[in-house]
Amino acid sequence: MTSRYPFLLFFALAIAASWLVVVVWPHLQLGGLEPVTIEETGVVYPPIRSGEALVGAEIYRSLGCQYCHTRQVRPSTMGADIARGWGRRRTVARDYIRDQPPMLGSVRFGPDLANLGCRETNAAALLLRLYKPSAIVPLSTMPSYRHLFHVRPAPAGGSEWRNSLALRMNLSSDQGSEVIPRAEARALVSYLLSLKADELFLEAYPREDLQTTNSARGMDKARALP
Amino acid sequence: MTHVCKQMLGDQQGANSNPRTVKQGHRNRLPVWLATMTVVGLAWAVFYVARNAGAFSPIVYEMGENPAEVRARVPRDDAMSPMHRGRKLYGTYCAACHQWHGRGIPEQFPPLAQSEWILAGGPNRVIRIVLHGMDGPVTVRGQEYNSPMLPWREVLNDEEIASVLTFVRCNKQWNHAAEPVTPEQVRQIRSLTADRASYWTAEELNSVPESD
Amino acid sequence: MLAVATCWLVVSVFAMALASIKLNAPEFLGTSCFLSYGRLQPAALNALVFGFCVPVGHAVAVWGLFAGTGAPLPRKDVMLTSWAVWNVGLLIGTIGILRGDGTGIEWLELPGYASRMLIVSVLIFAVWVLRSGWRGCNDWNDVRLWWCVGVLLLFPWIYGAALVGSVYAQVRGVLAAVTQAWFVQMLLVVWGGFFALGVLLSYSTGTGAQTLVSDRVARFAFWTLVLFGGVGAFQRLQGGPFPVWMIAVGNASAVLCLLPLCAVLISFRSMFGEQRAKGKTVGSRGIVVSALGFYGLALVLAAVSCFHSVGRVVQFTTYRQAIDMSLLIGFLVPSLLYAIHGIMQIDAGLRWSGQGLQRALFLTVAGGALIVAGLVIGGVVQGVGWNDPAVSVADVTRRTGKWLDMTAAGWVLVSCGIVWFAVQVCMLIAGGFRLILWPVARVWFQADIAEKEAGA
Repeated sequence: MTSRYPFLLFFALAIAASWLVVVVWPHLQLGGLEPVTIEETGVVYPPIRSGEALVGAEIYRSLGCQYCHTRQVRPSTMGADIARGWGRRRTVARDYIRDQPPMLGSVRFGPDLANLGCRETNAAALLLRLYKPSAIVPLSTMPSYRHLFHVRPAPAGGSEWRNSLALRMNLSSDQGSEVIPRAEARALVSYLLSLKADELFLEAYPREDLQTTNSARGMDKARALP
Repeated sequence: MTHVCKQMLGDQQGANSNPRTVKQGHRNRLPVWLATMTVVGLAWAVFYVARNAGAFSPIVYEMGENPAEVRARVPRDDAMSPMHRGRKLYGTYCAACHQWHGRGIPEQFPPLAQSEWILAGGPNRVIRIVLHGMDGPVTVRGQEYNSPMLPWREVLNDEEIASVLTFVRCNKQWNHAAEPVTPEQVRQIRSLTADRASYWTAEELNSVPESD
Repeated sequence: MLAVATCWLVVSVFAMALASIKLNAPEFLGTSCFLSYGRLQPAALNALVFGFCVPVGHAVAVWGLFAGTGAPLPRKDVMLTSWAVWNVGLLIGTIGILRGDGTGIEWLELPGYASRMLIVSVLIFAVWVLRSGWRGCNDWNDVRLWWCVGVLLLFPWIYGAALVGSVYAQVRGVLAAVTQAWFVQMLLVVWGGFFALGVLLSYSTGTGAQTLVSDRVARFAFWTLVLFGGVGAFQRLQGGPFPVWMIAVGNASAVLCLLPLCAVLISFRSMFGEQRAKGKTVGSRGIVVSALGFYGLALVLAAVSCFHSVGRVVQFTTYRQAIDMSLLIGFLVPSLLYAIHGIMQIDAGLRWSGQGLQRALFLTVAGGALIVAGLVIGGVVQGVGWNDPAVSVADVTRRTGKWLDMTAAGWVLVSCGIVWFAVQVCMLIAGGFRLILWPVARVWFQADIAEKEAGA
C-alpha cells in the first residue's frame, strides 16, 4: 500500500462496505414495504392522511416538534413505554411508510407521540395544549405556540367558533377575549390526531402479550361451547 | 491484562534506553494483546449477531427470535369460529356507525374500542343494547354522546348477536380480551326482556348488574 | 517562499472563516428557550458542524497535505470559490432553518436549496482534491497522510450519499432515519476521528518529526475505524422501529469500535513514551489527552448503551446527545482550535501567548466536560423517570431540568472559551497583518457580522 491508487481503492471499498451494510441493505429490505390490509377489520394500514393532516405534518416539522418528542414506542421488555400508555405495541418500520420524513425524534423531553391520536381524541384539548401547555401540565417546559392563534375580544353574543378555545378554558388572563386557532394550528392538531400506530399485523404482534393468550383461551372456550 | 501492561512497559523502557531500534520494532508490530482482542472480539461479534439478529429477517423485531416464532404469533381462526362470523356481522351491521377501527365518530357515535361498556365484567348490558337499542345521553371514555342506536332483535338471532359481541369483546386489534359471549346468554336475556319495546337509556342499564 | 506564502494565505483564510463562523457557537446560549428549541437547536447545530467543524477540518487537512510536504498549493481560486459557495449556502440554510424550512432530519436540516449549494461546493472541493491534491505527496507510508486524505475524501462522499438518501430522493419512512444515522456516525466517529486523530498525532509528534511511532497500530486503527465505525451507525437506532438484525449488528460494531480506540490509545501512549525518552516536552499534552479522553468516553458510552439493562434506561434520553456532544465539543472542537493554533503559529510565524491559548482551551474543555456530564447524568435520570410509569411527565421534566442546567452552564463556558480564542485570533491577525490580506479580511468581517445577525 505504498502508492496512492491501492490506497484510494481500499478506502473507497471500506466506506462503500459500511454504506452498503447500513444504508443499501435496509433499503433493499424495507424499501418495498407496502401497507397491509388488517384482516379482522378490513382497514388498510397505515391509512392515508387527510390533506389537512399532511399540512399539519409540515408544521410539525417546521416547528421542530421532533426535537422533544419521539414517535417511536419500545416493546414492554425495553422500558415502560407501553405501561405509560404510549402505545399498545412497539412501533415497526411499516408504521412510517407514509411519513416523509419520518420524524422519529431521538430524545424524550416530553411524552412519546406515536399514538397521540389514540389516547387523545379531543381537538380542543390539544389546541389548548399548544396555546398554553402549562394550563394542562403545570411546570411544563413545552414552549407556547401562541403564534398559531388569534386572540381577539370576545363578541358580545358569545363565540361562533366551534373550536374557539375561549369557550373551553377558564384562564383568568384571557377573560373577555377569545382565542381562535389559525389554520396552521388546526392542521397541526389534525395531524396530531392522526398519529396512530396501534393496528396489529404480522410483525407487530407483541411478543409476550398476556392478553393474547387470554383472548386465545377465551376463543377456545367460545368454540368449545355448542 | 498484566502481560499487556508489562509489554507496554517493556516497550517504553526499550525506548528509554535505545529509541532508534525500538522504534523500528514498533513500526512492524501489532501488540499481541490487541491482535488477540481483535480475534476474540470478531468471534464474539459473529456469535452475538448470529444469535440475536433474527436471521436478518425484516419481520423480526425482538432480540433472539426467529421469523417462524413471529409468524406463529399471528392468531388464526377457522371460518366457523364466532370471531370470524362476528367480524363479518360487524362489518355488515355495526361498522357504519362505530367504524372498523372501533373508535366511532367523535361527538356522534361512541367508540367500542376500549369502551368501558364493552369491556364490562359481563355482557348483560351490551346484549340488552344490541337487542333493544339505546337512546339518550351516554358517557363513553369520558366523552358524552347522544344519538340513538337501533334495536337488532328482529334482525339478528341469538347466535349472531353472540358472535358479533364476542368479536367486539375479544377483538385483539382493539386490545380487547374480555370473556366471549355465548348464544345461551343472549337467549336468556332475550326471554327476560321479551316484553320490552322501547330503547334503553344509560340510567336504566346502569341499574342492571354487569354480570350474573 | 512561494509555497509558504500560499499556505499562509489559505490557512489564514480558513482561520478567518473559523473566527467568523465560530461566533455561531454562542447561539447555543439561547437554546434553552429562545426562539423555540425546535428551530434554534438544529440551526445552531448545523452552524457549528457545517460552519466550523467541516470547513476547518478540510482546511487543516489541506494544510497537512501541502505544508506537510512543502508543495505549493495549486489552483487556490478553485478552492476559494468552493469555500465561498459553502459559506453562502450555509448562511442561507441557517436562516432557512430558523424560518422553519428545516428538513426535519436531524443533522441534515439545512433546507434543500441551501444544501444543494453545499453539495456543489463540496463537489468542487473534491474534484480539486482529486485533481491536484495528489501531486507532491509520494510518501504513502506515512499514516498521517492517510488521515488527511481520509478527511478530504470522506466528507463529500458521506454528505452526498446522505443527502441523496434522505433529503432529495426521499426514501420511504424509516429509511431516512437509517441514512441519517449513517451520516452522523460517519461524520462524528469516522470523519471526526480521522481528522482529530490526525491532527493530534501530527501535532504531538512535533511538526518536524517525519516518522511516526507504531505505524502498524495506526494502520490497524484506520481500517477498523472505517469498518466498525460506520456500521456502528445501527447502534443509534436502538429501540426504534427497525428489524432486530440492524440493532444486533450495530451493537456488535459499537463494541468492536473499542478496538480502534485501544489502538489509538496505545499509539499515543508509546508516542508520549518516546517523547519523554527524548526529553522533548510536548506543548499542550493536556489538550491531546483530554480530547482523546472525550473520544474514548463517547465510544465507551456508546458501547455500554448496547447492554440491554443500560439501553432500556438510556434510550431516547439525553444520553445519546451526550455521546454526540462528547465527540463534537469535547473531541472535535478543541482539536480544531488546537490545529488552528498550530497552523497559525507555524506558518504565519505569529506568536501566541501560551497562557491565553491554554485558558481558552481549558474553558472549552471544562465546558465540554460539564455538557457531557450533565447530559449523561440527565439522560440516566430522565430514562429512569420515563421507565417508571408512576412518575408523571412533569416530575421527569423537573428531575432532568437540574442536569440540563448544568449542560447550559457548560455551554456558557464553552462559548467563553471560544470567544476568548476568537479574540486572540483576531488580535494575532491584527498584529501580523500584511497589506494583501486587509481587503480580504474586511470582507470576512462583514460576513462574520452577517452570520451573527443570522444567528440572532
